[in-house]
Amino acid sequence: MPAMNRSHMTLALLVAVAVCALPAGAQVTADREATLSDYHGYFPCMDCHGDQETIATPRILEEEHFEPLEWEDDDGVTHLVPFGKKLAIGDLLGEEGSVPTPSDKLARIGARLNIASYMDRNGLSPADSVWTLVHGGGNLWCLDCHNADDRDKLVMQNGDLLTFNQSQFLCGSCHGPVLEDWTVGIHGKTVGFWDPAVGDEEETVRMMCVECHDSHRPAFRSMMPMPAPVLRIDGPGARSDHKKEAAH
Amino acid sequence: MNKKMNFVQDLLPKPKARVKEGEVGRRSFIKLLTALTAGAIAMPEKSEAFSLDEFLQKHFHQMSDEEKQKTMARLEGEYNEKYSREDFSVDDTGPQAGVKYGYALNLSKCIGCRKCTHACVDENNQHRGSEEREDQVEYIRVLEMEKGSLDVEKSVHDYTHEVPAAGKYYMPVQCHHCNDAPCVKACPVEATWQEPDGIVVVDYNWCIGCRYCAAACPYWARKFNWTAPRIPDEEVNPDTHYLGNRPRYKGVMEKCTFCINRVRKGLNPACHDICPTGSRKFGNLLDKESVVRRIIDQKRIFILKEEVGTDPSFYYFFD
Repeated sequence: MPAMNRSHMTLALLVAVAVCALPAGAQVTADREATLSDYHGYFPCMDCHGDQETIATPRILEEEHFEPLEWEDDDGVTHLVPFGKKLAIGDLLGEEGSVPTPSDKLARIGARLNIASYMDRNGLSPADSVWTLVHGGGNLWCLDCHNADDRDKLVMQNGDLLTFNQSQFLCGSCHGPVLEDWTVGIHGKTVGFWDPAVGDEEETVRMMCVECHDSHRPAFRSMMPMPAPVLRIDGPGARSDHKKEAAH
Repeated sequence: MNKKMNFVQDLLPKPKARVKEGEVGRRSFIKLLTALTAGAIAMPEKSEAFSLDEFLQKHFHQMSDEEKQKTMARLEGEYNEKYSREDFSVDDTGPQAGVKYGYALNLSKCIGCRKCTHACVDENNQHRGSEEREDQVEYIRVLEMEKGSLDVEKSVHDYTHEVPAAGKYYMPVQCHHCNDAPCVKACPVEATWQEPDGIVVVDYNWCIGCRYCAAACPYWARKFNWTAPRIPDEEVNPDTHYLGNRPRYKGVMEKCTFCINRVRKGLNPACHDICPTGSRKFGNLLDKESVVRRIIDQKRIFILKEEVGTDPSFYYFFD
């Protein structure tokens, strides 16, 4: 009865997985006040990142940046922050990326990873942070994109590892038509020169996916608009003035 | 007498002569009279320090290179003095061969934040209006539209709520740089024309302020200087072009020039670079590899008010 045995084994495995998974889910939904120790190990990424407002767009959503920000690396080389240098597609396929990895960022801000003390100090509960991943409609979790063994690498569905400056290929594995448009410049923001003959590659900046979209919450955020124009009563826009008057 | 006739000939604003050389046609003469009369009335208000050189300045197309250089130098001096600076440059870079500018705007991506409107004001030295800049001159008007409708009559221009609002989309409107431009046809003194690279420009020293062009424009793209423009010294942009963002005078018409001072150096317009969503795309329509051509080839584009037959260089698209 080998087939029977296999079937039983599969069923047993499924039950085991369900039993293991259930307590975590039940704890999260039922007990929002749970302490850190109850969750330790279940949500490793969110333990560090879930408590903060992850903003992937340091220069775009900040007010009025005509010029990209710059930072200097340890060798004194100036880079655009954090990804902005326009790279040829060939360069993006390279193993060595110019995009800072999590380790680079931690080193730059001098931070040391100590989850428990950080969260306790700030009065944070992991339960509050679990649901900040608003991407993929609940079908994604951290390790669908991040590599478990080396956090400085991203991972494709087929197991291929990507550096952080190749993240657009990871995005494109689900959003193919957008990647196609981005590659030819239709999708996404470009700053600099329209004229390829004049525009020096160093000065023309093509924004990458994660510069405009927070990869953990990709929808473009709403914002307050700049001040509205004053409409002349007899001008073509006077209609909305009339509407206001009518409403009063 | 001969000397006087030469003087009249020089003043004739004729980029495209309709009369035989050496003759002064009846229509041209009437236009000249109109221009001179209007000029005589308007000129004293145009500049605080009125100069004979300015009064005798020719139409841009009729100036020789030497005369252009002199004019640019004079204007730079005037602006430096007026705005207490030393770095003003008035450029007269001409169009590039093989280039025709086109603009494409992605209505699916625009969120109506009005950053383009305000970047444009800063780049193009528009009138700032009051201290609060409430009544500043703006070339770009962002329309808040109902989803599923293209009825601009129902659009809202002065929304102040958080954007994008549910059930709305946003359509920025500016000069469409029409290839069959009604504003150019309406001008009685030929102070506005379309350059070979497609940019519709105004010679502010030739404009008589009749506002016929504003009445003719179906996109409400032309704006009039009802008062002497107020630009704080520290906010003025000293990198200017004669046909573009140099400071204007009271009583003249102005409009979007695709930031002629930038695009003729290969740069993108200011509204393009400030857009946080990447909705705005700019490029050379004659270059098959340019992003604008790709959009026209691949996306669903449309032209605003296509039925009026203006043949714009500005395209909207959805994706």
